[in-house]
Amino acid sequence: MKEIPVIENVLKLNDEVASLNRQTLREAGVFTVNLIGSPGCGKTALLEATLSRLKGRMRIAVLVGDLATARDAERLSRRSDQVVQINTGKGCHLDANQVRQALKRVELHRVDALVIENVGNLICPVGFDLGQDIKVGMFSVSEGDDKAAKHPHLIHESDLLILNKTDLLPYVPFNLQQFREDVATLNGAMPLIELSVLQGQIDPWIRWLSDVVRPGRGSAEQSR
Amino acid sequence: MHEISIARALFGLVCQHAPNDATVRRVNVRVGPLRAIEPDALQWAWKAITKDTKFGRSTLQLESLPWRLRCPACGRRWESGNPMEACPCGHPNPRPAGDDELTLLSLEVDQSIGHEPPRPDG
Repeated sequence: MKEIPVIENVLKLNDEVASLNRQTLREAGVFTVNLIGSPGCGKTALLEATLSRLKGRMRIAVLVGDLATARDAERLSRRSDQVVQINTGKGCHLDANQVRQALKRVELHRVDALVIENVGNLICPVGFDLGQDIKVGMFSVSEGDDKAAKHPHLIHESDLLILNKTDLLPYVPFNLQQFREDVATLNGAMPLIELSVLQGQIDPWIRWLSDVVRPGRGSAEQSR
Repeated sequence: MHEISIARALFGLVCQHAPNDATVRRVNVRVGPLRAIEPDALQWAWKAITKDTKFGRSTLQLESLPWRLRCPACGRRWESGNPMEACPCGHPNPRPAGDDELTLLSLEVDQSIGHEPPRPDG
């Protein structure tokens, strides 16, 4: 028996395409977010509210990944003319090539920020580079206060964590202090934003996003 | 299940590196904890992906790297499969760190041909 050394990244192909995506997006001056959260935590609702709130101030394009249907894209298209639906079929996460193909349908020259709404899944998308600048993880109160501890990989890899549906705190047994401690243990440097999309309480997210998307990219009015 | 995507990518890489005249017996892979790979799931995925292919008799050997923990109270450092393992000093929340490595380290091949029963190519 002979041993042949290889020493190669198994996801080399995905990572090479992700690097191309990153280069394309940076050359176009587009700040890119990979939004990862469970099904039903409120990713699409957050983006609907974000698009409404930042209309005229920030030009946002969205790629939305789902196994099937274009429902999320239909919802978002009412608020942005740059929305592309990616259907993965049986794929439990987006990959860099799917994003690259979808980017061909986005007019990047009139985009300040791109949000990639990943397939609803707290596990599989975490390790697949899409070419983003940051990863944002998202949970909701209705899922239970132990979900951060149960998903250390997402917490560790995220640059920002959002906890949605805080309006439900009076009605469900969610130990907010425990959740906060678990997040701090796993990634003490990462900000945690607690909000309620349903009640329109998303100011901290809007402020955070406005800070990280580099100023001077131009508003929607300037592009016309 | 992302282990399927990973097994597919691994298959492509093994195709690139395996000599044409050799039988791949073992595929050695090192995995960091940040990859969230369930070893049994990856083994199953590898068997499924390689079934009825020229790598159908290969086994996947996984080296799983542990989380590295540091206690903020007593400074102890250790390794564990659990990123939230309490410190023996009593501090409940040590700080975890881990790699996101996913590396095909090597292939172990048998270049003796002519003794294997014929099987379909993949």
